[in-house]
Amino acid sequence: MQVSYNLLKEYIDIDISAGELAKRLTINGIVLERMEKISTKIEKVIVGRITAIDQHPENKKLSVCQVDIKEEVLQIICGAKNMKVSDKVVVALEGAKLPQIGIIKSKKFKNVLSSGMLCSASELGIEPGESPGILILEEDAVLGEDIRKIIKFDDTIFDFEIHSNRPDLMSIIGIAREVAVITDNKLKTPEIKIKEEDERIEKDITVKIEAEDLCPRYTGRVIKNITVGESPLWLKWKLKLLGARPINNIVDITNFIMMETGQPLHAFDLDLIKGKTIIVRRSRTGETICTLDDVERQLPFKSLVIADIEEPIALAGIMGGKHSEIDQNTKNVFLESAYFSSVNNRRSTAKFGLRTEASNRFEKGIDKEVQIYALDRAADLINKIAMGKISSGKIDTNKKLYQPCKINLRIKRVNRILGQLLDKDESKTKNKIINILNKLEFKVVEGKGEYIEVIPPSFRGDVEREIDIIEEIARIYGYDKIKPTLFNHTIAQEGKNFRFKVIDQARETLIGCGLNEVITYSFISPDIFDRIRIPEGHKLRNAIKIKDPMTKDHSLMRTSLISSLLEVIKWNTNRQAELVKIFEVGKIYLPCPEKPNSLPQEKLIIAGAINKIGRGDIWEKSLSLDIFDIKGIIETVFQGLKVEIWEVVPGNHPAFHPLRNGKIIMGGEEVGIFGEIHPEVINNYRIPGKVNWFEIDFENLLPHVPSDIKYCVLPKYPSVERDLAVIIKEEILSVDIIKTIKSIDEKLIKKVTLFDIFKGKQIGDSFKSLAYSVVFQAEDRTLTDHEVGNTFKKIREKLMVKFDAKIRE
Amino acid sequence: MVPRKRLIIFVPLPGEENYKPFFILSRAINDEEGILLENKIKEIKKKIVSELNRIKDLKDIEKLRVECLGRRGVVTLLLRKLGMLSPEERPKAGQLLNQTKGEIEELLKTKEVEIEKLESEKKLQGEGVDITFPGRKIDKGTIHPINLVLREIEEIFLSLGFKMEEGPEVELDYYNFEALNIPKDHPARDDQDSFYITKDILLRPQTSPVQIRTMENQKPPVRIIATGKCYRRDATDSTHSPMFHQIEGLAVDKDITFGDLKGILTVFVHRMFGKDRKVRFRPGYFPFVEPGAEVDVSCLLCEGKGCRSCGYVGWLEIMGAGSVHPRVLEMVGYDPEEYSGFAFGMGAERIAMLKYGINDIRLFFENDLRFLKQF
Repeated sequence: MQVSYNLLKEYIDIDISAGELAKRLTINGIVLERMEKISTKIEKVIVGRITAIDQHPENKKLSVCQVDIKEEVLQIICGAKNMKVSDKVVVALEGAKLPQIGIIKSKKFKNVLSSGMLCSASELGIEPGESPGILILEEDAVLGEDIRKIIKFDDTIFDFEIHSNRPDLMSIIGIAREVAVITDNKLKTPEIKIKEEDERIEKDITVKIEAEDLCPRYTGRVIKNITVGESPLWLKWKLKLLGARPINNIVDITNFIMMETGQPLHAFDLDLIKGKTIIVRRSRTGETICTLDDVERQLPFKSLVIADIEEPIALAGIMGGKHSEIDQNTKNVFLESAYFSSVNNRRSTAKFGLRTEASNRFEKGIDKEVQIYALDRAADLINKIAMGKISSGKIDTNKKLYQPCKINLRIKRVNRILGQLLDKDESKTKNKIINILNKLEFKVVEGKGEYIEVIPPSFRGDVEREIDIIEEIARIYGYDKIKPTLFNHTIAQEGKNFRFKVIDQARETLIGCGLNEVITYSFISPDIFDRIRIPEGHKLRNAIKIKDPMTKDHSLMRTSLISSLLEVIKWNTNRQAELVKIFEVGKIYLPCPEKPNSLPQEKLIIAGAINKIGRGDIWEKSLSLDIFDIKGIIETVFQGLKVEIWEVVPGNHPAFHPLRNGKIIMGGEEVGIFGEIHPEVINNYRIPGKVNWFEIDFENLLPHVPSDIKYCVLPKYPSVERDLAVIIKEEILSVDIIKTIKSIDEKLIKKVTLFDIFKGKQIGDSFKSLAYSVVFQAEDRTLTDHEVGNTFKKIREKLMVKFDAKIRE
Repeated sequence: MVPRKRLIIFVPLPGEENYKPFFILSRAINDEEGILLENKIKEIKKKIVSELNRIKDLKDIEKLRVECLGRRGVVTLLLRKLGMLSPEERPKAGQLLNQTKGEIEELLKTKEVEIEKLESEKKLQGEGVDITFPGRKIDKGTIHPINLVLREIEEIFLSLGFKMEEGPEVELDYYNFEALNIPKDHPARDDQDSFYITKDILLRPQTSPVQIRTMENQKPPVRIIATGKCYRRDATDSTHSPMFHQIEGLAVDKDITFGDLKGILTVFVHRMFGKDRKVRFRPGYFPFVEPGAEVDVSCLLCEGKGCRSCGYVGWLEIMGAGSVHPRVLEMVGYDPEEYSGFAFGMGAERIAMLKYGINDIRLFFENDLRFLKQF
C-alpha cells in the first residue's frame, strides 16, 4: 500500500517525523518496504487566469494568451488547445524553475513575445509522460497564489507491505488508524454532505441479487448530468502519491475513494445498462465479456458477474466491461459499492489470471460496513467535481451485513500466552488491556470477574477469537516489552537420533576421502534418461511429474543422482578444474505405481563421483583411475560405519561400463552400486576422461549399521601367516577363492588377503595369478607347524579340485 | 736384604712404533735400575691423552684401545706380568693397574661419544631439504555451506533440548496448508507459488508440515527441529531459487509462552551470530502462529547503523516465528487450553548468505569447486 506522509496528515495529526513514523509502524507490524523522499524544484509558478486567446499571426498551431496574474497581465504563447477564456491556469513566470524544463525565460516565437509559460500536469511533475494539454485549475483557485501552496511538492512516499490478514490496511484511512494508535491523536474522516435531487433513483435503475451468497450486500447511487473530463489538480496529485494514474474525473474519483476507504467502487454508464436493471448473478455457460483492458474473456461457468437484462457488464469485484465504460460521452452514471464474497473473488481471480486493485481487496475481505460511506463520499465528489446531480435515494440490499461478534477475553489467558504480566496488579493489567483495545476501536464491555467482552470493529474481520485479540494486545503493547524467558521444565529428549548420526558419519568419511559435498536441484529434465542411457520402460524413467513446471529442466523429480552430479563435473571441468571429487547426500523420489494418489517413496541416497585420483602436485600426479578407487571409497565409508558383512556381485546398470560395475549386497538386498560411467554417457555430457561413480541406498544400508560397538578380546596366541599363489581362469572371481579358502576351517583361518595379481604370457592369456596371504590363529593354543601345514594342504587340494587351479610355489 | 726383583718388559707405548724396554719395580729405586710402576702408568696416561687429542675418527680410537687394552696392549701386558711380583706387592699393583684400565676406558669412551656426535652432526649437515616444499596432505573434502549452516543451527537447538525430525518433501496439501490453519481459499494460500503434483500433493514450500506430522505422532512435550529442502515457483535470480532449505522449530508443552519464544530465539541468535547482536521481535503474519512475529538481528555489517546490505534500516530479517495457533493444536488433537507452544522457521540460504557474506544464492547450487572449497 503506497501512501504519503502529507496525505496521511490530512486524516490524522502526526507530530513525529516521517522516518520515525515508519519505524514505529514497522515495530507495530506494518512493515515499510520502501520509503522515498520526493521534492520537486518549482519556483515562481503561480495561478493565473486567461483573459483573451488569439491565434498566432504566423503559426496557426500556436495561441497567444493574455493571462491575468493579479498584479499584471502577461502575454504568453501556448501550443495547447484545451484552454478557454476565463480558465484558471498554472503560469511559470520569467525566471521560473520547472523540474523537467529548467529555467523559463521570456522569448519571442516568430516575432511575438512570450513572457512565461502555461504549464501542463506533466511539466509540473504531477503526471508521468506527456499531458495532452495544459492544466486547467478549479474555479476557486486563488489568482496569483504560488502553486506550492496548492500542492505540497515536498513529501515522503511510504510503501507498506500489507499482510493478507489485514486488508483493512489497504487504505489511507486504515493506515491512518494505525498512526492514530501510535500518536494517540484522533482520526479525522472526511465529512460528506450529500445534496440529493428530487428525482428518485428507482426511476433509473432496479437491482436484483440472484446470488446473495456471493454478493451479500449491494449498494448504489445514480448521478446524472455529469461532465466527464480531467481531474482537478489536487486529485491528480493525490493519485500520484498513491501510485495511481489519472484517467478521467469519474474513474479517478472511484479509484481514489477505493484507496481512501478500502472499498472498491465501480461506475457504469447508466444509459448503457440495458433494461435499466442490474442483475448480480452467476455466469452461464458460453457467456463472454470484453473487459476494460480490451480483452474478450470467456466466462467460467458460475463465476459472479454484474449483468443487465441481456448480458454480463462487469466481472464482479474484478474489472468492469468495455461496453458500459465511462467515457467523454457519458452523461449519467450508476455507482456501485458492494460487498462480494472473498472466496468467490479469489477463485475468479485465479481463473481469469487477472488481479486488480479491486480484486486484491475483495479477496482478502473488506470492511462490512463501509459500503455506504464510500458510496456517498464518491457521489459527493462526483457532484462537486463533475457537476453531477445525485438522484434521491440509494440501493442497499442488506443494511445488516455487519453483525458485531462478541469475544470473551480472559485476562489470565493473556498472561499465559504472552508470558508477561502487563502489570502485577490484575486490575491494572485489565485497564491497560482495555486502553489498548479502545485505541484499536474495539468495543469493550466489562464482563463479570475474570473476563471482558470485546467487540472488534467492522473493518477487523480478521479478529475472530480470543487469540486474535491477544495478538493485538501484544502488538500494541510492544513485542520488545515482553520479557524473554527460558523453559524451566522438562528437558527433552533424545537429541540427535541414530539415523542423523549415521548420515553425519558417512559425510565425515567422504570428506576425509577428499570428496567435496555438493547440493543439486531435485528436479530433472526428461531428456536426461536418454543421456544416461536408461532404456524406454526402465523403472528409473517412472518419475514424479510436476503439474505445470516453469521449465523443462525442472519438470520431473529425480529418480537418480547420476545426471545431477555429472552436470556438476561438467560445470567444473569446463572451468579448468582438473580433479573433481564430489558427493551428495540427497533424495530420489519414486512413485508408488500401485497407489497413484499416495505420496512417493523418498529415498536418501549417498552418491559420489570422481574423475581422477591423486593430488595433482609434485608428489602425486593426478592419475587416471580404475573402479577400485571408487570401491575403496565405499569400503572406507563402510569401515567408518563398522559395517563389515557385505558382498559384491556384477551389476547391470545401463549407465555404466558393462563389465566395470558392481552391486553391493547386504543380507540379500542391494545397498549400493559402483563402477565406471559408460563412455557414451561421459561423451553425452562432454566430460573429458572417465568418471567413476558410487551410490549407497541409505535406507537399505541403515538397518545394517551397528548402533554400538562390542569389544572382542585380543588374541592370546600368536598367528601364523602363509602365502599362496593360484593360477586360475580369468573369469573366476577372487571373492570365490577367498570364500573357498575360508570354508576349509572357519575357526582357524582368520584372514585371507589378496596381495598380488599377475597376468602375462608365462601363465597363458586367459589366466591370472592371484597371491593370497592366509592368517591362521587359534584362540586357545599356539598352532604347530604340523597343524598349519595340514590345513594349508587341504586348501591347496580344494582349490585345485574346485577351480582347476595351479598352485604356484 | 731381599733381592729386588727386576722385571724387564717390552711393551710399546701407544702411538709409538719402537718397543722400548723398561723395568718395573715395586719399590722406588733410581731410574737406572728401573721405573717405578706408578711413574710408568702416569707416562702411559699422558701418552694416551696426547694421542686422543690428535684423534679425529672412531677407527683411530679403536686402534688406541687395542694398543692399550687389547690382548697385546700395554695394560694387558702389565697385568699379565703381575704374577712375577712378590705376593705382598701383587694386590696393590693389581689394584693400580685395574684402576688404570678403567680410567683409560673412560677416556676412550668420552672421546668416542664426542666423535660420534661430531660425525652425526656432519651427516645431518648433508641431509638438507627445502622445507617450503608442500606437504603430502590428504586433500580433505568440504561440507557444503548449506549443510555447514544447518549443522551449526542443529547443534545449537540440540543443546537446548530439541530433537531432530524430518518429513517428506513431496507432501500432502493437508499437512502443508489445511492443518496449518490455511484452508482452501485462504488469502495467505497462493497455489501459484507452489509446485503441485496432483490436486492434493505438492512439493512442500515450507518445512512446517513436519510440525503437524510430529504432533500427530506424539503427545506433548514436543521440542523438535526439522531441516530440509523446500520448493517454490520462483524464477532463479540472485536472491531466489526454486529449491531452498528451511529450518523449522516447534515446542509445545504446558505453559509455554511468547516470552519463552523470545528467550530461546535470543539464545540462538547470540550463539549463531555473536553475543553482541541485538535481536528484535516485531509483529508478523503466518496463519499457523498467533501472535506471529518476524525476528530481526542487528545488521552484521554496520551493527545497526544502516548500510546497503540491510537496506539502511540497521536490521536484517532472519526468521518468522510465533505462538502456535490454537486452531493448529486443535487440528492435531491437542487441547489449546492445556497446551501452548511456539514455532519458528528460517531459510538456510539466507542465514548462510548473511554469515559468509555471499551475495548470490545461485552459487549454492552451481557447486563450483572454487566456491565449495572455501568452506
